Amino acid sequence: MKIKRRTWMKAAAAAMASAALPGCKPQVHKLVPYLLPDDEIVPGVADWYASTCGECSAGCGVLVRTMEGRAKKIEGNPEHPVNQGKLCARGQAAVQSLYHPDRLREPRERHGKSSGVFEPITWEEAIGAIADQLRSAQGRIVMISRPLSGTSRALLLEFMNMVGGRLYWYDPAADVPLRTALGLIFGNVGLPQYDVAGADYLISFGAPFLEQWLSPVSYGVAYGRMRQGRPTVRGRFVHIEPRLSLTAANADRWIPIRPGTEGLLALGLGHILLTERSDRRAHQRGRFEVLFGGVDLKQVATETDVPTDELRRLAKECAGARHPLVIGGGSACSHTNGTQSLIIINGLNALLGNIGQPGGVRFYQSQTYPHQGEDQTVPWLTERLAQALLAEFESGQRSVLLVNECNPVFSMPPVMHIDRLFARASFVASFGPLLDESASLADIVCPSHHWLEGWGDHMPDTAMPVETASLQQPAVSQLYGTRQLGDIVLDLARAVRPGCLPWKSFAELLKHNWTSRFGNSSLAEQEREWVSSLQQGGRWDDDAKPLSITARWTPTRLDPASFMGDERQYPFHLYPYPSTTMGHNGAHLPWLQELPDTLTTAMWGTWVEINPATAASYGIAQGDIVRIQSSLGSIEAPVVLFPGIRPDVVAMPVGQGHTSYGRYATGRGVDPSQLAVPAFDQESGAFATGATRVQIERTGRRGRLVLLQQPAVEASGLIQVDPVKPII
Amino acid sequence: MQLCVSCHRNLAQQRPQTQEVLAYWEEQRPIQWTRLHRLPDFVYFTHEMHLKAGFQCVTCHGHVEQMASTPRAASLEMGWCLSCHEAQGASRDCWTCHK
Repeated sequence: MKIKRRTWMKAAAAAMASAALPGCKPQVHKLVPYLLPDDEIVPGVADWYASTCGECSAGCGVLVRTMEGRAKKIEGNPEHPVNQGKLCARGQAAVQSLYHPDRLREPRERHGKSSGVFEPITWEEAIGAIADQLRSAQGRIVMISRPLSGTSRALLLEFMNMVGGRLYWYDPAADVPLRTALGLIFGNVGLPQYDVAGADYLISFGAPFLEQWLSPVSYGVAYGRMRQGRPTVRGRFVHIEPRLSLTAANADRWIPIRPGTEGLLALGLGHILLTERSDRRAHQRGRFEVLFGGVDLKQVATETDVPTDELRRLAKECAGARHPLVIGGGSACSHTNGTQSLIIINGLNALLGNIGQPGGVRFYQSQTYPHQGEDQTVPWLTERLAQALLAEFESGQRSVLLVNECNPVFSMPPVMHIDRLFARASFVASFGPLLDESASLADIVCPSHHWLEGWGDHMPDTAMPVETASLQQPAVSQLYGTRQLGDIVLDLARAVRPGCLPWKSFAELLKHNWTSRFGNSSLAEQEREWVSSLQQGGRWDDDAKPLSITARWTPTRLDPASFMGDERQYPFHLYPYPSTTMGHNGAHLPWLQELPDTLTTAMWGTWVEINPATAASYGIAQGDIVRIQSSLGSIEAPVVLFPGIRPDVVAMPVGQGHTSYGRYATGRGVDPSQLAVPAFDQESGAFATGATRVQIERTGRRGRLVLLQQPAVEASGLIQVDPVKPII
Repeated sequence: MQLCVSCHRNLAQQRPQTQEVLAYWEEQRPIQWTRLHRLPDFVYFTHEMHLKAGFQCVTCHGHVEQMASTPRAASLEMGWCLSCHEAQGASRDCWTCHK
C-alpha cells in the first residue's frame, strides 16, 4: 500500500493525540529560591559582561546580557575596534552552543579501543591517564588545536615545548594558501590589514569577506564605510568568482570566472596596468616585469572566460581610482595553483603602489602584548602535512594525539583518511565540547568550558591600526563539570613535571600576564587597570606602529590549475563553499540551521545549485534529487535552480552531513567532501577542494527542499503563503 | 528565603505551616516551591499593565485567601487571554503578547 504523506501525517497526528490523552498531566516545575540572596543579582534586572566571542578566530568584542546568572543574549561591543558593535549570526547563536543539550558534561573514557561507548570518569582519573601517556610517549606528541592567541597560545606553546611535542593549528576556514602566499611575499609578519574602508575601488578575487573570510564582521563594517562612510566618495566593488556568493551579490559587478583561473586574470590585469597604464608607478616598472611581463591577453581571455574588454575596463577603473585595492581568497585558494594565484593577486597591490598606504595593504607591529610567544610560529595543519603525520604514526612507535576544539575527521575530505591518524595513535585525547566525529575516535574526552564560562584573551591575527587585546571573562558560572582548557593544560603540566609551570590556575596566569603589562605601577593601580580592562572587554588605547615591509618579488610561475577527472566524463566543476549561515562547523546550532541561505533561501539540509540552463538540458526541475558523481564517489541532493552560477559549475554548501555532532546536526544533509579527489595546492599543501570534476545524473525522485517561500509543511490556514513568482 | 524568614521568624510561629517553613531555614535548605503558573518563553506578560487597567488579583488568581490548597484558577492559555482581551476591548494584535 502506498501511503501518501498527507495520510501519514493525519495518522501520525491521531496517534500522537491518543497517546497524549490518557496521561495528560502537566510537567511539574519547581521554583527554588536563593537561600541567601546574592547582593549583585536582582531578579528581573540584567547584568552585562564584556567579553570576546570565541566562535571563530576573528575575536569580536561582545556584551553578554545575563539574568539571574544565565546568559540570555549576546550583542556586539560598540567600543571594540574589531567589530565596532556589530555581531554575526554565529556570534548571536553562541548562547545555543552554551545551552546545547548534547554538550559533554564530564570527562569520559572510551570503553575499549574499538567501541563507541564512553563512560564517565573523574577529572583526576582523566588527567592522570593523559599524563601517563604523555610521559611514556617521549616526545612523540602532536597537538591539533583550533587557532588560539594570547595567553592560551603562549601556555600551549610552553606546554608543548615542555613535553617535547608539536603544536599545529587547524581551521578549515583558514585560507592556508593565502597565508602561505603572504608569507612568501612579505615574510613572517602575519596577516595584513586590507584597508577596505579607505579604498575607493575594490577588486575581490573570490574573497568572501562579507561571509566568513578572516574577520567577516570587521570587513563588513569596513565595507559599509567604503560604500557610505565618506560624504563624496562611494567606493566601487567588483567581485570575481564562479558563483554569485553573498559577497558577489553586494558588488557592483560580478565576473563569473572559470574556476582555477583567478591568478591568470590577475596576471592579465597586471599586464595591462604595467604596459598600457603605467603612468601610476612608472619608476617601478622593472620590479614587476618578472611578474606581469610576458602575458598573452587573448590567451587570458580564452582561459578565464572573461572578455578582453572586461579586462581593459577593470584596468581602466583600477588605474583611474585614487585608492584601488585588490584582495583574494576563498575560491581563489581552493585550487592546485592557489598560493601562486594569491602571490600574483597580492602582487597587483604592489604594482598599484598600495603596500603600507591608506586604502591599501597595511602591516602593524604589535609590541605592548609580549606574552603570546610570537617568536615561535605555529604551523597550520594542512591535508598534506596530515598525511606526513600519518606516515610517521604508522611507523609503529608510541604516539599521542591531542585534539582541541577542531574536527579534522569531518572537515578534511574522507579520502585523506584522517581517522587512520586517530586509529594509529597509541592514545588520543580530545578537549572539545561535543562528541563530534574526531572526539568520538578519542580514548578520553575532557570537555573544556564554553567561552562564556571561561577566562581568556585574544589578539586579532589580522593587523589592526590600534593595538588591540581583548579579554574573555566568565559571564555565567559553569553549567556542568567541564574545565577551562588552560586549567587542563596546567593540571597536565603539574602531573607530568611538577613545578614546571608554577601557576595555580589559568585565571591567575591570565591576570599576571595582563597586570605585568600595565607597567611598574602599584598593586592597587594594577588592580584598578585590570578591573577596568575587564569592564571594557580589553584594551585598545594606543595606535599601532606601522610596519614598513619590503616585499620580495621573485619570479613567480603560474601553473594552470589541474582538475581531477576526465572533462568529457565529468563535465562539471564541483564548487563546495562553506555554508553562508553555518560555516564549516555551525551545523549543531538550530538557529543557524533555520537561517535561510541568503541567496537560495534554502535551509535545514544540503542542496546542489545548478544553473537553470544546465538543468533544462538535463530535464531537471527545482527540488529533484540528482546524483553527483566524481571518480571517487557519489552523493545525492535536491537541486536548487540558481541563475548565479556558471553553467559548467555545480555548487554545494559544506558543513552538513555529520555522523556525530549533537542531535541537530547528526544525520542531516550530505557532505560534498565525500566526492573530493586528492589534489593539493603545491606550495602550501592545502587540499584543493575546487579541483574535483563531477557529473550529474537524474534519479527521478523528488527531494525535500526547505525554502523560505516554500516551507515543507502541509498547506493549512495557519501559514498563508503567497505564491512567489519564480525569478527564473 | 532570608527575606521571607526575617518576618516569619516572629509571626505566627506556633502555626504548623510556619514551623514547616522555618524548618527549611534551620536546615539551610531552599524550599522547592511547586510552580503553578508557567508562561512559555514566547509570551510577553507583565502584571503592571493589568493592574493599571484596574484588575483585581482575584480575577485571574481566584480567592486565594479562601482556599485550603491553591489550584490553578485559570488555564492561562492563549484562548483564555484572548477572550478577556476581546471582552475588554484590549489589543488583539499578535505583537502585544508575542514579542
